[in-house]
Amino acid sequence: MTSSRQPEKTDNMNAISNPKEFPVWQGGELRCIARSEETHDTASFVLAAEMPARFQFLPGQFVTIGVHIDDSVHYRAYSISSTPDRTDRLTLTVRRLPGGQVSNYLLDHLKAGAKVEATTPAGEFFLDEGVADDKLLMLSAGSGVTPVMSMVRWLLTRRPDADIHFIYSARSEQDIIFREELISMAQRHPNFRLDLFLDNASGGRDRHDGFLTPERLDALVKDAAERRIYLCGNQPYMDMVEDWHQSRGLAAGRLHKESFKPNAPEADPGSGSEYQFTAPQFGKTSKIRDGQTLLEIMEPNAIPIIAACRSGVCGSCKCKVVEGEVERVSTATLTTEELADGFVLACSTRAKSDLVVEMVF
Amino acid sequence: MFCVQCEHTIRTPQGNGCSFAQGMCGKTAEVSDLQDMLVHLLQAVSLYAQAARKVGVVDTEIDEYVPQAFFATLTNVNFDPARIVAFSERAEGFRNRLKKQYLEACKVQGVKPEKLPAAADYQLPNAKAVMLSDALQFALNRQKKEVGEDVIGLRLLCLYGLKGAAAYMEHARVLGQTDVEVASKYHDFMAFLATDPSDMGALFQCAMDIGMLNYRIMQMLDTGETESFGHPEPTRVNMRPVAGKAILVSGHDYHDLKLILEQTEGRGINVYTHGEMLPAHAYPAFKKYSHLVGNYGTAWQNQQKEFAAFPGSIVMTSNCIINPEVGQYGARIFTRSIVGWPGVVHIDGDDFSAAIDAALAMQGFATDEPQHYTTTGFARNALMQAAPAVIDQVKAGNIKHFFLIGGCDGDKAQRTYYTDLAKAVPDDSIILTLACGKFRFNDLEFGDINGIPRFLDVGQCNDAYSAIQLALALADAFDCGVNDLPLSLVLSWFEQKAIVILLTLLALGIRDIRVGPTAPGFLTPNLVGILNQQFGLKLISTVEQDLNDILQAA
Repeated sequence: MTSSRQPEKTDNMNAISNPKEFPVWQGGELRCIARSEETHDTASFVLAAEMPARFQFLPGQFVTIGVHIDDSVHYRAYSISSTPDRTDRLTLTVRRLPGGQVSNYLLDHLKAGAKVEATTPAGEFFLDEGVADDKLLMLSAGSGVTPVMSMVRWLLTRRPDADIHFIYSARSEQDIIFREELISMAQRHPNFRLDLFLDNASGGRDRHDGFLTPERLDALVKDAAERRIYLCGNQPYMDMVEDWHQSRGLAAGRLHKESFKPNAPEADPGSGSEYQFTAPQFGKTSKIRDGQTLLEIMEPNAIPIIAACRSGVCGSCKCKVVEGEVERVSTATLTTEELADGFVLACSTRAKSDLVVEMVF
Repeated sequence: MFCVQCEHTIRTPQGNGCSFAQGMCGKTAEVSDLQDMLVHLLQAVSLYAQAARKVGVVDTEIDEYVPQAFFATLTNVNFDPARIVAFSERAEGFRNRLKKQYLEACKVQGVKPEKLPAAADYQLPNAKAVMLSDALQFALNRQKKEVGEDVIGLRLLCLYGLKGAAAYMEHARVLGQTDVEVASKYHDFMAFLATDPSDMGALFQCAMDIGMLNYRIMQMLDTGETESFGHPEPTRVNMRPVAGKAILVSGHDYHDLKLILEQTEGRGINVYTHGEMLPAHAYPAFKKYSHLVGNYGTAWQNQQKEFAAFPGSIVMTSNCIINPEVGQYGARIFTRSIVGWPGVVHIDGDDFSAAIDAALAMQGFATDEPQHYTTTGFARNALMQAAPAVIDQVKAGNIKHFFLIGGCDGDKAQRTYYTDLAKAVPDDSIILTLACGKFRFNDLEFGDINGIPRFLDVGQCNDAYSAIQLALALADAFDCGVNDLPLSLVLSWFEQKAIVILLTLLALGIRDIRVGPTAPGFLTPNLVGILNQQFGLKLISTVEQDLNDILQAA
């Protein structure tokens, strides 16, 4: 079992004494003032502005982080996990994605004192402070818990009477991000109900073995029609919940989802096998690990591919698998004919054998 | 990064715009952010230029520089971060020069210097990392939360429209056409946008004023082109290769084509036009060169395939360039003027030897392909000369409708609409076209109506000016308004030149224009609704539905 560690305090920790007086932060450099390990592959980073400033965001929003790796700047968006009530700092919780350039960099290098660039908070998935609903259903899986955590942290301070049903899916007990805090919330707040779905769960009425399913949602959330729902997780999880929501005739306007999460798809740890990746047009041959995305190999090999969103939404990294087996995580924007012809999205396609890939233009 | 300026931008239910590692065009987040910083600096220049004019200081070198640098931020123009930084450094130098001139003039005249917005005095950092950090605050959707999406949309309509106008200013400048009043208005709009305005009425008026300014700029460009190269004449252009060494000239800049034709004369190299350069064949100044043998390829979005197969060198004189490494011709493509791609040789000055040598080193086309022709050159004079005959045919009932089907091309599948529309218009209709959207149907046979060709290629996108002149002439002949003519405009847009032409048409009061394939990503549904209400502006639907609506309304 992994327990959360205390943040590594630095001298800067209390540098901002009265943040309400400060101007709203407009983006720029942030210094990591503390870091805590949430699980074996996830850490929270507490970030503060170099100059006195006030962070203004809504619970659930994200910032885009820029880090310098090999002479170029790489950007990724990460949800804020802290409550907007803490205006002097932002906490980002980042999970390591095997092969994920930025997440690996952050987890390997971002320690107290280090700096990153960041944009102002943004995003349309947020808890509307003006909405009067006091019955809420929070559904999340994996690192999708981060924006939802910001929401419940804010809710439990500002609206302690809110009735929150928090359902979270993780691989194992060791993979529960914010484990201690969630358990504590459930113990301290009678209106906060926690249900955890884990592979091989054991012990406790709030632990459920296996995946969340529509039937299990029916059984657990009998008053779903009365609840405003916030949803964030991987695509199959989101699809399942959305199908459930629609099939039960629940009001569409009461389901809020982070359906466009601008991170690379959850990486597949793979079998450990290695295959050969070939792009004959460009005379490139390289090794590719089982489960690696094509984009992870194409970019370092200078194969000219555009990868705008890197999350299987925009379709810019379309290419063609001429030979070999792949797993397609997203096929957004591809037509039926293109799918039949072997077209894939490089950012959302994992190697499952030796591959020959072409750029078609 | 945040960029929503082209039709290709990422669209999700959560919002429109490229805002991650790269744009859909391939522009990196770094280049996009540096371009935002360049725009910010150009606005600083305009703030001082506007103030300086009030004390009589006009610096024409700076007036000519700012639209040129602004042009570098259009879609598919400059992807080279080093060049964008260089543009910014020069802009900062010019801002400092103007500031000095301004303060000296104030001192001499005993005038208290104006307090300008903080943006006017932005200091460009030395390190690129700091520039990128600074650039985050210049993102074009800044203040979205405070002012709302409609205001951001109108700001972008103005800024992107002004980018298009700046591009045409630069094209006109190359041909010796500049105007102090036009430059003043340009600075006024840039300075206004530098203040982050949030009054929707003022922003809307600004958009219309930019449209009117562009009408004047297109007129200047028309003058520059016709004075430099003569009036276009209807001309058949071979669209297939002929045997021999070859250079391909793409983009919009006829001045570069002239230099290339001069420098390749007698060298055993055939010159081809590409994309928006096609109408060059109709100008007397180019027709005299026998080694200008034809047009190769189609619209910009097909260049990676077409350039890869072109057995010679390629010169990209202006937009649109896309990644040459995909087709692996980066070593034989050359950029000019404001165009840039990292690692691609950029030709400064008027010596095209590098491109000519590259063409000579290539094998060229081995054989002649069977000839296939299109006709271009129905620009202002040709249209005016044809106008009496056209009017007679309208009066006789033989011509019942005019369609202007044109604009930018792109790679979205739904752009087949424009081909289908051109094929579907009734036989008693005339089709006018312009810009690279024409490549969707300019290889089709449309025949004629009693000797008047049914398909009239007016020219480049800026030759919308010629089409407007024809519309005005027809309205005059029939003693009615342009909106009363049996004329329907069905436009395709991709980037900012198309945006400013649309603003020009709206500012001139032209109604019921149809635009596609989708609405600009920066316009909110509310703004699209307002444009529909005020101008009858519509998005395309289906060919059948639109044609039915157009012909029933006629």
